[in-house]
Amino acid sequence: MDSMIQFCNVSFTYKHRSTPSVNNVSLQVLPGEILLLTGATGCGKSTLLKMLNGLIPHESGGKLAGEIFVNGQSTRDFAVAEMSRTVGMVFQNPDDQIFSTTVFDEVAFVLENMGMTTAQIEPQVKEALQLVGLFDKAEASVHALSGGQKQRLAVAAVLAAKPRVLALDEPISQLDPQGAVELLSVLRQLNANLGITIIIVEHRLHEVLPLCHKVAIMDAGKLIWQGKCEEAYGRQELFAAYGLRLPQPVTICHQLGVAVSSAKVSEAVAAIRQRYAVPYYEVLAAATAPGRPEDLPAKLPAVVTARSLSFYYDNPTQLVLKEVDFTLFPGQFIALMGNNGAGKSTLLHLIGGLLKPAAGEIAVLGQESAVSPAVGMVLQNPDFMLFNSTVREEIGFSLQQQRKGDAAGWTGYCQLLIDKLGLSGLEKEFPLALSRGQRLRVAIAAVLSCRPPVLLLDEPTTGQDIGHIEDIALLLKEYTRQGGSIVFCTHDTEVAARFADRIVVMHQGRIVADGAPAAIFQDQVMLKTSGLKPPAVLLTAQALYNGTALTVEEVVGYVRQTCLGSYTGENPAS
Amino acid sequence: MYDRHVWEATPGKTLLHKTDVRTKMVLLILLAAMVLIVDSPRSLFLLFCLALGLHVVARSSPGRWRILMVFILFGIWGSMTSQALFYTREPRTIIACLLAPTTPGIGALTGGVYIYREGLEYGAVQALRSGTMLTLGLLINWTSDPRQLLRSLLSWKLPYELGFMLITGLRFLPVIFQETGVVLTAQRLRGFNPFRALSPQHLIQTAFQTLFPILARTLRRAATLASSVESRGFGRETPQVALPVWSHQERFFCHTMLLAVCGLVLLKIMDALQFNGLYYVPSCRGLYDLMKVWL
Repeated sequence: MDSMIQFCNVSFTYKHRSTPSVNNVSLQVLPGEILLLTGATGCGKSTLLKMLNGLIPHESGGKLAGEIFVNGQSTRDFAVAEMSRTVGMVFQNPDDQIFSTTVFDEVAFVLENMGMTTAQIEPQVKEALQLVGLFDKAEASVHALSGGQKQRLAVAAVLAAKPRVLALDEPISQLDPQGAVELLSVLRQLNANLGITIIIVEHRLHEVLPLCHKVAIMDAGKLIWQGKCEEAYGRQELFAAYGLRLPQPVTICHQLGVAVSSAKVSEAVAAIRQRYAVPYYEVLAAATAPGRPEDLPAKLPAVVTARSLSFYYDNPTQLVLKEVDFTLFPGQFIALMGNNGAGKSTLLHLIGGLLKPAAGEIAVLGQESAVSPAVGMVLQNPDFMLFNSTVREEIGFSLQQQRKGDAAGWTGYCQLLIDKLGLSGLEKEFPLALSRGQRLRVAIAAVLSCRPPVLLLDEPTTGQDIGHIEDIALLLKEYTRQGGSIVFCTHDTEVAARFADRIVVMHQGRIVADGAPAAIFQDQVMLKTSGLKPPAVLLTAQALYNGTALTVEEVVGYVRQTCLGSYTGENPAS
Repeated sequence: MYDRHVWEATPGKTLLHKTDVRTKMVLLILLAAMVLIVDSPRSLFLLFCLALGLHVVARSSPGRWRILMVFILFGIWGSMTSQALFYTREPRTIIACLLAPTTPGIGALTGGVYIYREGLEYGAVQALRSGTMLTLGLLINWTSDPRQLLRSLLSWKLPYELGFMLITGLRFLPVIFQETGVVLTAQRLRGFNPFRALSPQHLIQTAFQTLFPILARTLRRAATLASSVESRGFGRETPQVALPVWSHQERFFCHTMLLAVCGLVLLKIMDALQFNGLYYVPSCRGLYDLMKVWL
């Protein structure tokens, strides 16, 4: 079969750079395939994606070597406008790419650029909106859409041109779980019903992988590995080496030495059962459970206390927080979860003293909450927190303001943070020129350097690969062991289940659940109402032995201990 | 959270939303010409009220009125203060003395600091001019689809790069305001006190520290938007899409407005010729009287 997309020995070097961002890549994608292109941040995957419609090299400058063919057309020979009829490109942040005021106009834009008349445009816009499930929103303002709807609109905005290929650059990285599910479902249908070839660049491959036919891994501009998903499931070490997260059922199977060709829980469980006679849950598993709130030093006085907290922004009738009661004790690591608009960020801002409650009271360390060195806060977008010329200045900045450390605010703890967060060697770099993962770690180090008793992080896992997430989480866990208290907002149930001591779930301005991760993820009704999904590892444990495990290690430990009588933590297959 | 959408264009069903972008742009240009031609405070005030009235027609939200008022009041304050203090034309009437020339040291150096009545009046006139243009500019920004604005600019032969740059600026201006707030918040959270030292060097450093993150984010955002619209076939070689039909009524309105501005220019010339004793039409005495009051 002829390829829909073919990269032939492609290399590309940006202007003013000496090393190529894409280095001798050859890759083929067949018509109707879904390819996941993944790799650590800055590995060149977005650059490769931009070659598909000719943005590179036509609009970027730089030096391109090799040939790229899409649907038999060389991208060198066609302008971006012409390629847009074949390749639809969707970017990471829907807010950055939406250009019109209404849903209909946004979708019509590409057709207008193709020179169509109004009579021709209307049916095609409606068809595209129908495909992404936004038909009833045609006349709505783009501002009235949720994050997931906006990203589906971005897909419709290119789909209207009836492209043969859809290229999506981290399309779910900014979305909450509900939005991500909506978008992935649309992509699945487009591929199945229309046979559209899809290339997705994404870090959250544990969510995207089950949708795909093929995977390609890039590192430092080179294509390291490519193959079918089934093959990928057998290459756990390779993915781990590049900080990539395979679906948890696959990881469990791998660690138990069981071959699996699907990421589905049912198939993973069936494969494990073929090899192991796993008994149902007994007391054993409880021994492997992670720390729980009752284990924590709750006898210490609370560091944050909120009572009947209510808040609104402009309209008193539209409460963003409704009589919220919340307590944070020293040493706790709390994950604050819920869909976008649930009130998570607002609660963080109230704790940080950036907002004042409309009703109720909130105290931090016994004082009315206010902006103070007692509370450190890392914003969702780390770029807004970086305003110094070097990483070293950035990390020492707050201490310097407090006249601590040396003249530049530098202390031994700053150096420790540099080392632990993998920032060694970057001390003299301009923070805003670093990769997104590095920028976030600099922002965290800059806040942690003052050792605030309360640390708030607003979605620190967004756009990060699992390697970075683990580095950050482990550092933060260590911080809580030293007495610090942490609240972090996240949509990532796997991270929350694995690292948090306590999970607080918010929905429509209220706290609807507050407890240990195991208890929270057992409550199916609450999870569904709040738009959350239990981590796949829990579903696997439930199906396999009626367990409540929240980490891969727990499940693997249980199976080994009950079936082999050993709990060495080693892979029996190795 | 901060409502950034208050800054961005939103669809609506009012007359202003339905009016063709070209008509609104013509209106903006012609009213801008009018406020430059006219010197009479009362005429300028009427034009300013007209511009505000258009916001009533467009049903601008309370949030937008707040933004408008803040800008206008700051404009009036800045313009009147600066003109009141630094007005240099004659005659000028001192209505208050802020710093006597006899004040040791600084008094002799500055020659005294006064508030001039004519400066206040002149500042008010300038503020009405800038306020009218600002009010209309925001009105167009809030009621027009950026896509249509861009197409209109391109159909009027504005170079593609310039048109896109202008619209991107408009598109991101609201976001920049919002993000400036976020950066200042982040700085506060990290104990940053921009006014800790008031040395010029420190103030420049502070300005850079605030601008760096905003600029970096804006550049990234602009690059994405440019890639996104180009990926959807928009660019230099894009076939010129027929804009929606420009209705006869709106065209007629624009032509009438253009004639009115041309008439104003003629009257202004007549007034100037008469004022300088170069040309006077006795039969138009009534007109001269009107011009004295309204122009």
